[in-house]
Amino acid sequence: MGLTTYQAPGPWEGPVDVDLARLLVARAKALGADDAQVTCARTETYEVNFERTDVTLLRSGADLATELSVIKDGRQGTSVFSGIQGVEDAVGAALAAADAGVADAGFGVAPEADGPEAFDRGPQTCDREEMIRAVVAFLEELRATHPSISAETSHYSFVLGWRAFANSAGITRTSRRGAYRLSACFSARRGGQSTSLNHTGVSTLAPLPRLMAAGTLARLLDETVGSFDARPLAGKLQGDLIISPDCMASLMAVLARALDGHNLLAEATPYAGRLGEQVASPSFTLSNRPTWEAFADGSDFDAEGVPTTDVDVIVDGRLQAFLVDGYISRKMGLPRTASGLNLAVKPGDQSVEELIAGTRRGILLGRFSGGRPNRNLDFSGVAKNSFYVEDGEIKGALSETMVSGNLGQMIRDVRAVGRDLVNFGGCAFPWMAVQGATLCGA
Amino acid sequence: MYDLIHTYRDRLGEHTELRLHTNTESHLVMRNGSLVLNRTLKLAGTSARCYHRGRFGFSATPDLGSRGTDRVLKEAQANARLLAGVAGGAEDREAPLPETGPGRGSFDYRSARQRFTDRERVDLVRGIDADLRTRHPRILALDLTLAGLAIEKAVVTSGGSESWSYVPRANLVVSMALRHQGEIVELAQVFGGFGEIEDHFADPRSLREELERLYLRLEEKALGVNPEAGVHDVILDSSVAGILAHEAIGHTCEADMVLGGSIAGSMLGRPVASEKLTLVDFMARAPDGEGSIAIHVDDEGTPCRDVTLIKDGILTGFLHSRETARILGAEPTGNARAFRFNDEPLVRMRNTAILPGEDKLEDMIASIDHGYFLVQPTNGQADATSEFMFGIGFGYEIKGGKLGRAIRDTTVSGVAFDMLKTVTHVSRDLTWSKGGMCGKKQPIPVGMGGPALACRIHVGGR
Repeated sequence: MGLTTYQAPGPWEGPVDVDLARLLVARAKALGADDAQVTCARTETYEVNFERTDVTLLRSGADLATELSVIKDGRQGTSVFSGIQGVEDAVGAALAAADAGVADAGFGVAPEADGPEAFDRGPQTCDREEMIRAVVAFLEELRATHPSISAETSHYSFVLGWRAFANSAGITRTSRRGAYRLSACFSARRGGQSTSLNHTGVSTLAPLPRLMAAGTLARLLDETVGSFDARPLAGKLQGDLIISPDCMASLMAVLARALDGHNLLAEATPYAGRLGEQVASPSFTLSNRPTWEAFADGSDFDAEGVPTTDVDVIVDGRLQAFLVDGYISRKMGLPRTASGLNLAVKPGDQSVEELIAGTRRGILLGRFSGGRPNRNLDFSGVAKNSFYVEDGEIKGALSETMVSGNLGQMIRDVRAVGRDLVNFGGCAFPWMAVQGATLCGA
Repeated sequence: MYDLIHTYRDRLGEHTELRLHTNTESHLVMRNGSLVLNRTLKLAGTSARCYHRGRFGFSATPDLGSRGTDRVLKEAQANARLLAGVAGGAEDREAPLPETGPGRGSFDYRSARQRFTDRERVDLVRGIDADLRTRHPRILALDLTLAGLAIEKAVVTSGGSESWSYVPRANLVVSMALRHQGEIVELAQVFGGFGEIEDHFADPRSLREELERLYLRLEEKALGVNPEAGVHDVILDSSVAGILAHEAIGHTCEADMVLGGSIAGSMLGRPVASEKLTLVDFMARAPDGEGSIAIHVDDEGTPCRDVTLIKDGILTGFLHSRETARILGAEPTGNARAFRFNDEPLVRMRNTAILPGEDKLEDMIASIDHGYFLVQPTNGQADATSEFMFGIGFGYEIKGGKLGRAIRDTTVSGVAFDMLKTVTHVSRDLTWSKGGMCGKKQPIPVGMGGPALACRIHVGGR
C-alpha cells in the first residue's frame, strides 16, 4: 500500500491507525533518510462555551496533525502538517531541512523500548446534550449563589485524542485518551467596581456531575466575590506566601524549566552540577507523574515512542533527577527521565486554615502575574486574587501589591506544606507556605 | 482551494461564515551552538460558524476540499440549533447580528524576494551564532530562534463578504546569558517584524550593530542593581509603550471583556488618562505603514476601521465583534479574528498604539531626579480592573536627570486608568513591536506601538 492509495480515516471517522505512520517512515527512508519517526495525532473536540451568564457557542471539530522527523547523516529535519494533503511535500520539507542541518550526536530514534504497544483510557464518546445541560445548570446555580460573577471565554469540553507512532527501528505505539475539561475564567462586578479576573481548570476521565464542585472553582468564586474593596498592602515588608494550588501550577512549571536537560546543556540553570545536593526544604518533594492513573491528561509515550515513566525529581529537598528527554540523553550521556510534564508536589500535614493560622505577616497568594522569572529564578510580579494575612487571620483582599523573591530560595524556605492535594487532571498541588518574600504595596 | 471559495457562497444558510485557513510556520532553534530544531509546520483546514436564535455553532475540519466544506457547514448549523434547542433561545439574544457593509478584497503581503533555501536559513543562524561567540567568549549561553509565521485566510459570508489575505511575520529572537559573580544574567531581543524572513535578514551584517548593543547591554546588566521596590517616576522607552498600550488599555477595551466586567465599561466618555494621551487600534498596517500585522477584513467578514480607544485622555470606544456590537448597541469594528483553522473568532486587538507627542526623550530623562528609564519589555498581562503588569528585561536608574547603573530584571504594574493620568510627557517618536503574540484562549499575532512616556509606575524589586 503506497501513500497514494492509503485510505485515511475521514475527518470524522475514528482513530488514526499506525499504518499511516509506518507508510511515512517507509517513504522517508525510500527518499534517503537514515532514520525517521512519525507521530500522527487525531483529535475530536466537542466544546460548550459560556460567557457572562449564558451559553454562547457550541464548537466541534476534528484535527489530524502529523509530525515527521527524519535523520540523515546525523542531521535532523522536522515537518508538521494537518490532514493528509501535502504528505509528499511534508516528507520533502523534512528531508530538505535535514540536508541543510548540522550533524548532532543528540539526534536519533529510540532503538527499542519496553512497554505496551497500545494504551487506552477514558470514555469513547460523550453525551452532547447532557454536556449542554450541565453548563446551563451550572450557570443557573452561579446566578443564584454568586449573582455578581460574570464568566469570560470559559468552556466545558470533551476531547477524544488518538496518537499513532512509528519509527525506523520498528517501534510502533498507539494511544487513545478521552477526557472532559473545564476551563473557567471570571470576575465579579458590583456597581462600577470590578474584581480581578480569576481562572482555574480541571480535566477528568468522567463527566463532571456538577461543574460547581470541580477542582478549586467553588473556593475561587467565593474568594472573588470577597475581593471587592481590595486595597494595596501598606508599605513594604518581608513576609510569608501561602501559595494556592492554582498558583503552584504556574510556579512549579518555572521550576521544571530550570530542571530541564535543555537548560543543563545551555549551562543556564542554577542546578547544574548539583545532583544529589539538598536544594530545597526537607518538606518539599516534587515528582513528574505522567503515568498516574488519576491524571486524565497524563501521557502514555513520548515524542520518540518511549513509554513514559514517573520520576521523583526532588525528594525531601534533595535533587534526584533532571528532566532529560531523548535528545539530551544521547547528547550528554544522561539517563532519559523526561516524558510528558505532569508535575505533582507531595502533600504535607497541615490544613490551609492551619497554614494561615501559622502566618504572622504574609499573603494568601491566589495567582501570580509577573514577568517571566529569569534563569536565576528571580521573580517579581503582582499578587492577584490574594489576601493579606496578619497574626494568623485574613485581614482583607489586596490590590496593587507586588511580590518578589527567588524561586530557588523559596523552595528552601518552605515553612509547611498543606495536606489537601488538588488534582487538576494534568498536575496536582497542595497549598504551600514559604517565608522570605518581599511584599510591597503601591 | 482558495480561488474557489466564492463558489461556496450558495451553500451558506442563515447567518454563516465559511473560512479556509492555513498557518505556515518555520522554526529554526540553535541552542548553544547545537541546531536542536529545524521544523516547518503547515496547519490548514476549513471552518464554518452559524448563528441561530442568539447562539453560535462552529465546526472545523483539516479537509480543505468540498467534502470538508459541506461537512462543516452542516455541523455548524446543527450545533447552533442544538444549542438553542437545549439552552433555549433567550429574548435578549434573539436580535439579529448587526449588518455591516460586506468586507471584500484581496490582501497579498507575500514577499517579492527570492525565498531562502533551507541551507541559507541554517547558515544565517549558524553565522550569527559563530560571530557572537567569537567576538564575545564570555557568553555562557546563546539561544537563537528564527521563526516565520504566515497566515492565509479566505472568508465568505452569507452577508456577501468575500476576502482573501496572506499576512506574514518573521522574527529572530536572540537570547544571551553570561555568568557574573556566580549568577546567570540574561538578555534577549526580538528582531524582524512584518514580512517574510527574506525581507529582514537578507544581509545579516545589518544586524551586527544591534547585536553588539545587545551584548554591551548584557554586560551592563551584569554589573547592574536590583531596582528599589515601590512607586517611582519612570520614563518608558518607546519600545515599552506598546506593551503598555496593549496590556493596560487594549484588553480592558475589548468589548467581550467589557461585557465580562472590565472597569472600562463604566468609564466611556470619562477621563481615564492624561490629556496628552491618544490611543488607537489601527486596521491594515496603521497610517505610517509600519504596524506588525495587517488586517483589512476580519474573520466575520466585517470591513475593518480604525478605533480610537482614548482621545486626549477621554475613553471613547471599544473593540467589537458583531455580537458584542449587538449587545452594546454599537457598530462592529472588524476586530474578530481566529488564530488557527479550528479556532472560532474572538475579539482581538490589531495594531494598537499610543500616538506620539511633542517632547524629546533626552529632556524627559533630564526631568527626573530619582527614577528609572525602562527600555525593554518581556511578557505582560491585563485584568478586568485595568490593573496591568509587564516584565522589564533591561533599564537604567535615573539619578539627577542622568542615566546611572543598569537594573536587573523586574516587573512593573499599575492600575491603568490611574497610572495613565500621571503621564506628563509624550515623546515625538513611535516604535512598533517587532513581534508580539497575545494569549486569550488562543494565541494570535498582534502589533503594539508607542512613544516614550514619562509617568509614575509601581516597580517590583527587593
